[in-house]
Amino acid sequence: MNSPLSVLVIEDEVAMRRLLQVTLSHHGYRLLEATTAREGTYIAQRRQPDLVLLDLGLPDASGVEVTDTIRRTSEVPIIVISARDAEDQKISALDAGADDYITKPFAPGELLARMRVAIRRSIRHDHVLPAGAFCVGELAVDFDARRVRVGRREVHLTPTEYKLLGVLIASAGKVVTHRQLLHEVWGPGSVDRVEYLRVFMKQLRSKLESRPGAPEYLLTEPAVGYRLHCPAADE
Amino acid sequence: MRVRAVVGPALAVEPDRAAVFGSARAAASRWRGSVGYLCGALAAATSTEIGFLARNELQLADVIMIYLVGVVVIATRFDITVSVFAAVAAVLTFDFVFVPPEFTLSLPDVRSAITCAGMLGVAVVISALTTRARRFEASSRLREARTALLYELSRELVEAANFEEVVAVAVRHLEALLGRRVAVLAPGSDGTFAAVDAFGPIWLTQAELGRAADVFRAGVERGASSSGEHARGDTRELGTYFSLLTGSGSPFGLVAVRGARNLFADATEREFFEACAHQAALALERADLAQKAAAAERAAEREQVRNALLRSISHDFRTPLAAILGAGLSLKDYGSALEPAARSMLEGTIVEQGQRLHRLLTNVLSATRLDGGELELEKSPCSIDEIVESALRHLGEAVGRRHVDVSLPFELPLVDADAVLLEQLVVNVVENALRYAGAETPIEIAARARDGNVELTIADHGRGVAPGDEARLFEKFYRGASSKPNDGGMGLGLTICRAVAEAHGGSIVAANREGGGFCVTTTLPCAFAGSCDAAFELSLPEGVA
Repeated sequence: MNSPLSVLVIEDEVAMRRLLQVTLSHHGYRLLEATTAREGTYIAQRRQPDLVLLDLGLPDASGVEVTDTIRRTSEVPIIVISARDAEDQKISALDAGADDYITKPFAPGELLARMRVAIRRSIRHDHVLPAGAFCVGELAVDFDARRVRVGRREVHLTPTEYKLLGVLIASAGKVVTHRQLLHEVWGPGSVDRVEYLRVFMKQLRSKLESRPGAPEYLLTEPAVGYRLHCPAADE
Repeated sequence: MRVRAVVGPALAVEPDRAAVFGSARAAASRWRGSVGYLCGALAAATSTEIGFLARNELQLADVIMIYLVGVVVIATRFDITVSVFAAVAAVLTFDFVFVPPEFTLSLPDVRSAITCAGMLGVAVVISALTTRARRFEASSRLREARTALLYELSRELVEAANFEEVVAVAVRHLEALLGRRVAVLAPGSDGTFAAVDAFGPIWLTQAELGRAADVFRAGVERGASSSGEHARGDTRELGTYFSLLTGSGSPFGLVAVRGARNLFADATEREFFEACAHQAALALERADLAQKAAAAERAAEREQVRNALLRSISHDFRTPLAAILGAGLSLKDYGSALEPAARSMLEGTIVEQGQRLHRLLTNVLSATRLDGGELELEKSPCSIDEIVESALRHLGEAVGRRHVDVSLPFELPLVDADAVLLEQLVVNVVENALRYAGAETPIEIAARARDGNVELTIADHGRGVAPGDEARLFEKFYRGASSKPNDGGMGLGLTICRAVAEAHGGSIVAANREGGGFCVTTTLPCAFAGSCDAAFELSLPEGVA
């Protein structure tokens, strides 16, 4: 039970691999390394790591291809490491089944927090709408009673707002792309109607956040999607 | 090899143009022929009538004069065969009616025979003369019409703005001239022929396109070996006539005409067609060169920007890089011997300067994206709230304890924007405010909807800029008089802001505020143009229950 969690790093740059090696082993992870997509997918299938860190600038395949290949045989959480100029690739990798992303350059602490969220989620397998109760900061959602509270104040949400919040909570701490949210809340016919999301997120924020300009819970990932902030990940 | 074919709009043959050329004229002369014989007969009959009615007053010589007038009138109107017919008809009726013995076709004496022969001779000579004059007149009228046509063609060709328009003009004129479908075929830019359908269905078949490629290749080879000769290629096998388009150099395309049979009545028609085609070829060549020149100019401009960017990068990147390297080397070499305070200062330098490098690089990336000329914005309806939120989160520690006052109305419409670039705009403006306004002063971010636009205002309470500097702030690598040489800026931030705003069809202006401070206002068109409020309502009903 207490054997170290293994992380497969698929990254072609030595400096980056070295940095991850130092950071991750310091925090008790066991590292598996691959320098090409081919090698990476092979190790992912053979050694069954607990998490995959996938760089998007691999020489032999795109992030989407690697994500696809790994997803064919495994549900291992995948975190994509992207450069700023690879927005499209990042989004398509997320839509293809990657769990989260982080943009270079990043703070090691941020990466570790993302990793914790992803690993915990993969252990709990909570991909469906959550049951019971959910709490973060002042925000408390009781799914059985279908009640939402911020502090002591009870908040009334419309069915769509409630559903939207539910999808974000189901993936708490993890980015959910526009496409995924639209698909979950409005259905497959509306995956391109980003404006729906913008409007409903705004409403949801006005009801849940105390400072809409600087939200605490519902964070925007520009051009990608939204993330329900989950301080529990900052252990 | 594939062929790029440009075909004209639906055929519209104007009658006066068709008369310049080909079959229409032949039909006209046939029609005139049969009328001529009728008129010839009529002239003889009329002369006889007049002569007969006045026979008691007139002598034979006077009657001859009446007949001659009729023959001359016919001879001036019609060609020689009709004139001779009219003369013969006149002689026969004269002989029959007036030469004694009347109402017989006999010639009683030498005098009468000479009279008849003289009348015939006069008719032939006059009609030959008038026919010649008429032919000359007709050919000069034809020449005039052709010149006018050629003039109009070249005028329109000159007025055409680009290659496609030149092709359209050429095809329209040639189709009107020939009364047949015409297409201009040009090889693609990569040297192979590419099929482009500009104005409608291409009427050329695959076989004909293949043949066109052969004709073109043969033409190019011939043109290369014998430079003086006006290379010309045609093929009749497939019922399509091909003519090489040759400008000042080697051929660069083809004109295809549907139906090669009976295309030209004579050599002059073919020459005239070739002249028109040559005009078109010259214009096409000119348009092509102009397009290439414009592309080269754009490339040169881009190159210039890139060079300026490179120079400033190498300058502005060196400082943080030197700091990072220095601090890193110190830690590596004397790390263990250093005081904890000194160590943490060096570590802080590495992180801080690394972040500065990252910000510079982000701006440079945006600049190259915007300067590339073929920028593709990843537009989607964005909410200003979210853009401001993530921009402030990105600035993170740079904002620090500074008070940022965000006031965005709830009903602010969405804007159609590239979220990443728009965030960069907000980051740059806020960063400027943080850098140049006093450390304790607040920053205000506000927005409002106005005339189908969203106005985003970012203001500070600093000293502002020197009057007159406001507009120059947006120039590339320009830095305000108040900026210090090593404050981490490179005079690119606001330039990028302007490029971003303009790429979105918006604008950005800066101004000093009354009572101190500086204010940058960005105007962006809202999504779902025409009705911002409606856009907000639009998506509501489905979800509100």
